[in-house]
Formats: sequence, structure tokens, C-alpha cells
Amino acid sequence: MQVILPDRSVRTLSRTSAPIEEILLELGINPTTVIVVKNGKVVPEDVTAKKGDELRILRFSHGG
Amino acid sequence: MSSAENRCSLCREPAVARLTGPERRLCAAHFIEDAGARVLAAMKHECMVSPGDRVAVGLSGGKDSTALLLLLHRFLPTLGATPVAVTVDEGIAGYREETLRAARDLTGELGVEHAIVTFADLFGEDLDRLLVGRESQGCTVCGVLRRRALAEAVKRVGATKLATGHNLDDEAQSVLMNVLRGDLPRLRQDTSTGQPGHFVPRIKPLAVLSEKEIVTYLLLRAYYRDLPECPYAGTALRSEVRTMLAGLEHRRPGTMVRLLQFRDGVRGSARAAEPAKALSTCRICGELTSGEVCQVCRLLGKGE
Repeated sequence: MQVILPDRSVRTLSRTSAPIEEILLELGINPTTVIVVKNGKVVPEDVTAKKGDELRILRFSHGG
Repeated sequence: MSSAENRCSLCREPAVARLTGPERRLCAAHFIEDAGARVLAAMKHECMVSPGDRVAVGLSGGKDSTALLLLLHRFLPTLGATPVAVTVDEGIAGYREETLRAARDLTGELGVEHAIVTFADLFGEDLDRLLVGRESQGCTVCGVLRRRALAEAVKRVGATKLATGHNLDDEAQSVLMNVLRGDLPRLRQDTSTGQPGHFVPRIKPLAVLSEKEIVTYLLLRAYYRDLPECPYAGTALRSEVRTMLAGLEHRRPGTMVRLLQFRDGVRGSARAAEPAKALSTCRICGELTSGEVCQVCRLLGKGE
């Protein structure tokens, strides 16, 4: 699966299946500070990502 | 949980968010409805507006104030009140231009009256110039001047209330910061009642939504813009507290709500224990202050 990080860099993970929350924590990202878009759709972090999925991680800037 | 199991608790469409208190999963349409309903319920419960109110909506053009105007544009007419957007242009090169454009686009699209006040107009210089040699105090200086600028904008548009886009995260961070600073007076300070002749009551309808919920709301309504971060942000205590609280909220969901409940408890018991301290007026500008010269005049070097 491919993960597009907040800085727009792309990481390819070899895992076949894992809950998104677990993936975020492994990447050092606190799930409460980001929104995850899986294959173009916003999803809760307890959803499982599988081989072939694309995860885009949006970190919102502060202020506003 | 598999994608097939991730369904809206109300309609079985794919869920975009999992919320607690009560536990529920919501699809895009029901999330938008739920967020709006919570804001409207808070406005009614706390009697934030009255029929006939003209509510100034602080609109920076960033995410929180964009969500605030979208929601108040929808709800205020149902409560007999009207919105008017007010924007403070501090004069922060490379940051404010884009958010100002977003603010103008939004008010134009919604057909909401919009007034803009600038630091240069009110204080003689923009923030970038005012901060030369004291950039590390950016948030403090800007905070004091922005409050005054917003109060001035409110007077100019003749508003009876001021709504700001403070979200749950902002409010919880402020509580913890006041505790860490040992600043009980500020922890107790309640701006929702206003000061006749000086400040109109301030309301914070978004304090029931987390920053994450607000961004989700904007993404789902296609109003989210990845705007630049303020160049003066991130140096203050708030930045440390934000990281700390985000970690706690993840491990112990509900931490932020409990901090606000604690603040409200402190306010309630403090109010009963002693009367509010009397304020005087600044000998230079005539605005309210706890001393002889207000913070704005001191920051602008007028009190020396």
C-alpha cells in the first residue's frame, strides 16, 4: 500500500493489511492530528488498509 | 474493521468518522448534519444569541472561521439574528494575503456583509513592522492588538455580539496554559457577558467541535483550503500544550471536554465566592484596563 504523507512524500509499505491507526502510530503520527483519505474517501482510523490501497494523510495547519 | 463493516449508524452508507459520546459512525451527510446540530444546540443551550442580534463573525479566512461563518449563516436567521463578517488584517506578509482572499471569496459567495479593519489603519503600522526586534513575542503582541481591532470592528459595524471560531482544542489548550502559568484570574475570565460601552458579549459556537471535526466538516463540504501557517506561530507555550493534549486525547478520549468542564466548575465556584474585580479606563485611550495604562497602549509605546 502507498501512503502519501503530510509533506506530500510517498512511502510504500510492504504490509498486506493493518488498521490505519496502527500505521499512523508506526509513522510517528498522532491520529487526532490528521485526517486520513483512503482511496479518495475520508475514513475513521480504525478501518483496515490493505495491499493496493492508497492512504493520503492530511495534517491541518493551525490557526484560523 | 473492514471497509464493508464501516457503515453509518443511521443509514448504512460508508462512514467518514467515528464519534464518541454517544458512540456512533457517520456518513458524510450525517456527519455534516450532526456537527451543525451540536453547534446549534450549544447556541440554544447557552443562549448565545437573542432575536434582533446583529452578530459580528470574526473571519480570518482560515479553517475555523470559515466553518463558523458557514454555520452561522445557516443558523442565525433561524434564531432571529443576522451575521456580519469582520476581518482583521494584521499585515503579515506571505500569510494574510491568501487568507484575506479566502475571506472575501466566502462572504461574496454567501452574500454576507463584510468589514475589514487593518493594524496599519488602527495602530499606525502593520504587525511585521511592530514586531521588528521582538519577533519571538509575535503571538502575545498580535493577540492583544487583535482583540482591540476586533472590538473596533464590532463598533464600526454596530454589532451586538461577537462570534469567534475558537474550537474545542483551542479552548482546552487555553485552560491548561492558564493552569500551567498559575493564572487563576484568566482561567476565571468569562467574556460571554461583555462590558457595556466597551465590549459586546463574545460567543464561541464552535467550542463543541474539535479541530479535527472542523477540518472534516470543511473537507466534506468542499471548503477546505490548505492555507499557509502564520509565520509567528509555534514559538509559544501553546505549541507545547497542543502536542501534549493531542497525545492525551488520543490515549484518553474526552480529555479536552473534561478540561472545559473543569474550567466551568472553577468559574462557577469562583463567581459564588467573590465579586468580579472592578476595571478602570486607560488614561491614554479610554478603553477598559485593570491598571492605569492598557496593554495596547503599552505595546505601542504610548505609556512611557
